[in-house]
Amino acid sequence: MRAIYQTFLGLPWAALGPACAAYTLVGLSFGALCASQGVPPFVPVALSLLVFAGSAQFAALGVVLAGGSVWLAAATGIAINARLATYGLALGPAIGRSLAGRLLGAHLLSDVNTALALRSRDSGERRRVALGAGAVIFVLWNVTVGFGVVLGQWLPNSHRFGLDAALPAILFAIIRPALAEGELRRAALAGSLIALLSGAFLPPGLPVFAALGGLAVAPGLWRDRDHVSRGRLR
Amino acid sequence: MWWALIVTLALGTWALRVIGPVAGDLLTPSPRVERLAGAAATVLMVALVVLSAIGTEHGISPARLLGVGLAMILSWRGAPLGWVVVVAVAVTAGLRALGLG
Repeated sequence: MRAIYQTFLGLPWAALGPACAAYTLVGLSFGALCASQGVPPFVPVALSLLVFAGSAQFAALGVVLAGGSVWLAAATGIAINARLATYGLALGPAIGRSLAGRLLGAHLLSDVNTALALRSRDSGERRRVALGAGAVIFVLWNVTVGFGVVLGQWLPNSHRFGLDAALPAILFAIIRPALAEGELRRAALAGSLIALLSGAFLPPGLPVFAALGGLAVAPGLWRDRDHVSRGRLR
Repeated sequence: MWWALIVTLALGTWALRVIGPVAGDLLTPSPRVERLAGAAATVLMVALVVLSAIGTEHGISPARLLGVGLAMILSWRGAPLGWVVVVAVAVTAGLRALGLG
């Protein structure tokens, strides 16, 4: 099913466009934050190119700025990125045609392009959306982080403008169709609850992973019959 | 020392990302495993939304919680994505202007 907005590069711009606007602001703030804290410019630039994971970059930087060791910072970032392994499992080999393509394409996995790609069931379409949207986000992220470093402390305080609410809202709007399936909705609700409660005693990055426990309350998802959801096909 | 952080975090993150695409290449997952992995990714994303609505690296924010919560309700009732984002940002900014953190 193709809508009118899906013309340019065949990407779902209705969802990707607002996400790009949000990434722009978050990227600018990351670069500006690093610059204002006296972090050498190569650090945000290299992190954005080689790690390419916003929340992990912020968290790792936060640990270092709070006086933690670089190893603790790296471990925190890796824990936050543990969810990316699940995204890779969900998309699987669909991410690239050859082994080299998969090794490179996997670097582009993020929350938004995985959510967009999983809306399709066709593996070719998944690859196109995952890589296309991933490349758009990758370029945008690195350019805006670079700009942020240059702009430094001139940027307005994005916290005041409520921009930190944009990405969670966009991510929810993208995955909402999948939640039309009752079993999946129940698993997601239970998982979120587990994640919230476990936040009281788990280190950063792990509570979100604890949400997988929510799958236990959705036996239908484990059964071997083919149940095609209405939501996932959209 | 910065490079130790960059290289360790980059390699660790990349290793996590390639597990699925490469393992899926060596053994074709059954439709059931594929479906479960898709469900797991969705569950993680919903939890990520809930956790980041409540608290992020900047700390807990009641304004953002209300903004994102209202946006989620609107989205659930079928509002288009543009409106969902505008409401999330506007409500959060408005509540902060009123002094709610």
